This record gives sequence, structure tokens and C-alpha cells, in this order.
Amino acid sequence: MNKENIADQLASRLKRERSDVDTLIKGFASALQEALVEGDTVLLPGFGTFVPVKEDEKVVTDLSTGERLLLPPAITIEFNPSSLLRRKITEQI
Amino acid sequence: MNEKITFHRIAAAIATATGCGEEEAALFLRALLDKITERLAAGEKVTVAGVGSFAPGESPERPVIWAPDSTLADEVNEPFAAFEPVTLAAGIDESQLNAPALPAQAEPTPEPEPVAPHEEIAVPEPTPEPKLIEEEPELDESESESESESESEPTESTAAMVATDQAPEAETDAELQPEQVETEADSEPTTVPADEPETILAPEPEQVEAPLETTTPEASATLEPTAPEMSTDTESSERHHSHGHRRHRRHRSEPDITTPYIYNRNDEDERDHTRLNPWVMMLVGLIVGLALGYLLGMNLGYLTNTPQEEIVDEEYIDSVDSLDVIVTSPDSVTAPDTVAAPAPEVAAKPAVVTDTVTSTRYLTTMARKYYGNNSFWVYIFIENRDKIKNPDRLSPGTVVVIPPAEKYGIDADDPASVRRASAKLAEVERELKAKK
Repeated sequence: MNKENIADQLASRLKRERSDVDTLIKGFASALQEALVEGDTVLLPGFGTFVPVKEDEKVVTDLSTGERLLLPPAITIEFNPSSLLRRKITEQI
Repeated sequence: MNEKITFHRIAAAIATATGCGEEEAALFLRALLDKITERLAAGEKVTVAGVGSFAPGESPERPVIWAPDSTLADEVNEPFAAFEPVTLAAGIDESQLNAPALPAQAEPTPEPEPVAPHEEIAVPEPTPEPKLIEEEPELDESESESESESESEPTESTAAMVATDQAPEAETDAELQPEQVETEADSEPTTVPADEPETILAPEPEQVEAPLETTTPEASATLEPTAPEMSTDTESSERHHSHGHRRHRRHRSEPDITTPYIYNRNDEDERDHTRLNPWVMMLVGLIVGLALGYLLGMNLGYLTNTPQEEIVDEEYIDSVDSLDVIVTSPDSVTAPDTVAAPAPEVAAKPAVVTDTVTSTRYLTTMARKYYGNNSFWVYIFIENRDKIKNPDRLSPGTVVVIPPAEKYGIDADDPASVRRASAKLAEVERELKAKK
């Protein structure tokens, strides 16, 4: 299921133009990015939360070569699915 | 920062980004999320452009495998984008690493804010790196860099050279001149040493050369009358000497001198920048503090040695003026009398308090002002019976005498007094009605 597909399906479901849906998806991406760059948590009820998490630097050892790497700190985005989404998926599994 | 962005705020952000209505955006977002949920529940992987991919996980503990879009991840990680993984040399221990890297570590850790400026974080980076990597290649690099710098940039190297040359030259100046000048005048040696530090300290070639030229003619001028031959000889020898020095140094110890000099210059520049701000701040703070203190002192009357009473008088006059209260005393309108004006307690004094009726000041407002309760306006009316025919129809500009509170036993805190006032009012009203 790729984005083309999802945009098409959304367009048919919302009865809107494909281009409209595309711009809306782009808008959602930019809004999400803006909030996460600010360090804010995005709560989407019924779906999940996007949380930017700061990870400290750490030393990682490559077991095959014995080489050690000092990894720099980083901010990663975590996605915590909501209980509703969890239930829906686990019911399928 | 660390805020919680709710569904509606995201919808609003989408609305502003795309230009559609907020409701429309909320509807769309809901549909998109539902669609993703639906596909995930069906066991499909969903990729949304600019957001990331959602894939159903294998275990109930991790139902969704989420991978952010690379652009999104990069944007969010932007403050740390300048860092790269560093391989550690064999000899370095983790405990060793922590000790020197602590200051650098301390800077990024306390602030999880991803919007931190690039420079601040980029600065501490080079400090841990040279420690982690073997030191020798680093040093070689810096040396070669400095060499190439000195070769490629003639101005810098000459500046360094002139500065270094200046030292021996100045020394010879100092050695030679006092001997000859001693015979002549006392003022000369003082000027010469004054020039000396300038030439040594001056960091730029133009500045260094300029004082050089100015000092030498001076020296020659002063020297000429006593021993012209000697001075020229010494000067020429000096020149040769210095030139020799110059050449010598240029060929022999170029990199040794230029490298520390360049670093010193940078250090000085940095120090100047950092030193300027606190000093200026301190000065400004001092000036502001002094001015504030002076003004405060003036206000409190500490600095002006006038007696306290005068100031009080002035203040009272001010307040009286502002309130449009006209004070007529039997003798004359003097400051000490006006003191009594606004205070009902002091109204017992011979001074008669009057007030003027205006479009916004009636008997009731006067009563509230002087006695503390509206009801006492009756007494003002009674006192001015001759001027006021009807208390409901006052003409602005009427000057009213405010009777002293004791005369009618006025006391706003005493309910009995207030009751008496209202009784009096009823009485007066009856009288007025009877007149009509």
C-alpha cells in the first residue's frame, strides 16, 4: 500500500480531487514536522502520538571488527500507537 | 517546546498550510488516520509521503513498526546533524572518555530543544575529536596548515615577521638612544620607551611600520646636533643589523614563530570581543544605578537639605491645586493653612474649607470626600442654605463652604451619626416640600 494508493482511496472516499488530497497530505506532513521540530508532542486521538525523543551520545562496539564508535546525540521520532489502534491490529494478528 | 499538540491544532495548522477550511482539514485528517488504521488492521504496510511508513508489527508488544520519512527525521534531528560517528582509538577507555569530554557533553545534554543554534553545538565538537583520534596526525596537519598559510598569505607572515623583528630592533634603539640622549635632554628617553611597546604590541604590519618610520627620524633629528656621524653610523648599522635579523629569522624559524603568533592574534581578538561586553555592561549598570540613586535621593529629600515641612507644603499645594479646591482663610492664603485643607481631622483650624460645585462634583461627592460618606451631604447643604435653594438643582461654579466635621458631629464610622444624617435629610426634604 503506497502513498499513491492511499491518496486515491482518500480522494474517492472524500469525493475530492486527487490534487486536493495530495496538498492536504503535504500540509499534514509539514504541520507534523513543524510541531516535532519545536519539540512538541503530537497527539492524534484514536491513532497514536508522535514524540520527539532526545537520545544521548553513546559508544557502540562493532562485534565483528571490535571497532568502537562514538555515536553523536540525536533526536528521533517515536510513534506510540493508541490503544484503539493496538486493539484493531492485534485482533487481526 | 514540550507542548502537546492536539488534533485540532494540527488540523488548524493543516488549514493554514493548505489554505482550506479548518473543518475540512479536520475531516481529511480523520479520514487519513482512519484509512491508515484500516490498512494496518488489514495487515498492509502504509507509507504516507513526508510522514513515514507504518507497518503492522509481529508482536502485540509492538503492534506498529514506524519509520519516519527521511526528510522529517532529518529536519527533527537538524541540531545534531553536524555530528558524525567517531571511531575510538584502541587505547581510549570509556571512563577516560567521559572525563575530558564532560564539558562538551554537558552542553548538549541539558537542552533537549532541537532548535538549538548550529554554531553552539558545532563549537564543542572539535574539542573531543582531537582527543579521541590519535594526536600526532592532527598536529602534523595543523603545522602543515600553518606553513601553507604563512606561505600563501604574505601579509600575515610579514606581519608576524615585523612584529618579531621589532623586538631586537627596539632593544637596540633602547640601548643606543639613552646613551646619546643623556647628553642632551631628559624628555627624549621618555618618549622613546613610550613608542617601544607600541611597536611591539601593534598587530598589523602597517601600524608596525608606521611608528618605526616616525621613531627613526625623530631619533636621527635628536641625535644630529650632538653626533651626526655617530647617529648615521649607528642607524645604518642598525638597519643592516635588523635586515640581517630579518632575513635570518625569515629563513630559519619561520613556522615556529608564525604559528604561535597567528594563534595569539586569534586569542586576542576573541578576548577583546568577550572582554568588551562585560565592561560596557558594568559601566552602563553603574551609570544607571547612580542616576536612579540620585533621583531617589532627590525625591526623598536626602540630597536637598531643605527642611521636611517645606516639601510637605509643596506636595499639599500640588494636591490641593489638582483637586480644584479653593482655600480662603481669613488672613491670607498661605501654605501652612492649606495643609489643613484636605484632611477633615485638621478642619477644626480657623481656616474655612470651601469647594466649588462642578458638573462632576456635587454635594454628595464632596461629602464622601471630606467626611467619608455620601449621606452627610445634608450638612453641607444646611451650611450653605443661603447659596443653595434647591439641592437637586445646583449651578456649577457655586462655591460651597464645607463645615468642619465636629460642627454636626459627623463620623462616617459611627452608624448613629449616619442615621442622624439621614434623619436630617428627611427633615430637610419635608421642609423643602413644605416650601413648594
